[in-house]
Amino acid sequence: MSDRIFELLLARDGVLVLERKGPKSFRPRGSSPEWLSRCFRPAQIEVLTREPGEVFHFVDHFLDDAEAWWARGESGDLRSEPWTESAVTGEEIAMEACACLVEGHCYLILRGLGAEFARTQRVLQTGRELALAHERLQGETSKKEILLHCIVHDLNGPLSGITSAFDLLEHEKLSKEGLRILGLGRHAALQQSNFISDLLDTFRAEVSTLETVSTNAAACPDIVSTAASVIEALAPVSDCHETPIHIVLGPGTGAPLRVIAERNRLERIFYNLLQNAHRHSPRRSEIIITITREGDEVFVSVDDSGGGISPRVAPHLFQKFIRGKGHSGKAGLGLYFCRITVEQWGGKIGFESRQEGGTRFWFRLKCA
Amino acid sequence: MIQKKICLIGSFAVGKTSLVSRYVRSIFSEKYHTTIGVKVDKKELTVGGKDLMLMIWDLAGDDRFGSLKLSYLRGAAGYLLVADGTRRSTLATAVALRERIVEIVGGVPFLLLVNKADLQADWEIAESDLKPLVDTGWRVLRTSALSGDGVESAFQLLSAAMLAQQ
Repeated sequence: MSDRIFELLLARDGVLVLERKGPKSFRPRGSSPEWLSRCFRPAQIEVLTREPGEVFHFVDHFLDDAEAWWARGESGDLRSEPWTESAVTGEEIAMEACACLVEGHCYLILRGLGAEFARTQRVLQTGRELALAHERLQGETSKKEILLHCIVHDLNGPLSGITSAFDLLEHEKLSKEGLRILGLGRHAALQQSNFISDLLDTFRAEVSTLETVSTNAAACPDIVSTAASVIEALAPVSDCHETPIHIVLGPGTGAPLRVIAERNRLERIFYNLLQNAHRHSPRRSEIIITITREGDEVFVSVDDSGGGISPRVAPHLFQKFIRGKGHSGKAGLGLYFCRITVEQWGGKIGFESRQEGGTRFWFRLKCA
Repeated sequence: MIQKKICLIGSFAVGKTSLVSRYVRSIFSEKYHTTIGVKVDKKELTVGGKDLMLMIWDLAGDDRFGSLKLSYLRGAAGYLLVADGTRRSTLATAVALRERIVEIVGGVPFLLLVNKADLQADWEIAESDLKPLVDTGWRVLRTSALSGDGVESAFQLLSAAMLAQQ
């Protein structure tokens, strides 16, 4: 192929080839591409082909790197990113620059980008528009969640009235059966209250507005007495199911055993794990909480004798709105709340199947 | 004529290109046009009796589709950090970018433009978000590329600050 044909092909592809004469100074080689005569007058083309940095500010910047690159005599090309600059006609030209060294000669190649650039821009534009739409959707969802949680919060008011009424009823002369039914009513109210707390706590944890957890040992809760108080509150349920809850302290573990946590939310974690255990345990079985100090951590396990976790649910157990077998749980927020709260305190949570049957839920927290 | 290079930097779709378009060509398009690489414009202005040619480098936004080429800041005498008032995350991006920029250009003048002032009802960036920045010496302007509010002032203020530092 003759040099002339080769030059024409380059020009047809929008390529302007300039050979370096001196620092940031060039002479044109080959034919001029169409964009050059379309966007510039002859006098400007004269300047552009000899001192391209005078016309294109981007090229002036690129040539700082190119001069250093030519001086090093490296092989290969030094390529710029695409850039857009206005010609004197006002037309915007998308281009890319390339510096190369061929047989001891330094060349600057300026290439007008046409359809290829437009295609890349369309793809990028679509991607960014989708990202914007996603951001907007997240914002809308967040607003709706706030509204939902305001409603949930308002549900707490009437519930306090119901709980107070149960408290007053306790002072009446009720039969043994009446007291049993009262216990069930209080348990249902407690469940409802826990459900509302789960929703509100989860929401608060997600938006990170919960208070900072104190690492001051005196302000940190004793995990053993926290567990004991929850067991006491759940006594009517344990009696009803004939499934008692026992605490076992591991070797060398004594009370108080303070952990980096916040008492109310630690109680909620025990509530969630123990209520789950109750729901899935057969009648007349038992639930065992084991608390063991392991170095700087406290390991807590809750063992039940239930039917275990379904393999379908297991991978997603600690995610939001996941409910176990028979959907006998609540909104599917309990374990999600446990996970984000334990993780917020720097701990870990998990579960495993027990060899003797049933499930062990466990969590680790740092000692205060 | 004094020539100064300035850069516009910020998240994608905050309105950098629209601000330049409003300032240089007095036009605004509702349609979002993403920038690939960098877009270079120039504008002559007079500041304090001095004629100035601004070389305006509008850098593509930093996101998952492309990383910001901070080497383009080389030689910049000042820069405009741009955030979108309706997207809170873009303010955090601007603050993070500022830390990276200082490593390259040092303490050259800059302004934070909180754009889309015409959509004030949808703003997620509150006065209280900006106050800590103002307290540490940041100069913050609310702009609207749509109405033009604050746009001319932003470029004028930055130019004046660059000339003062000369």
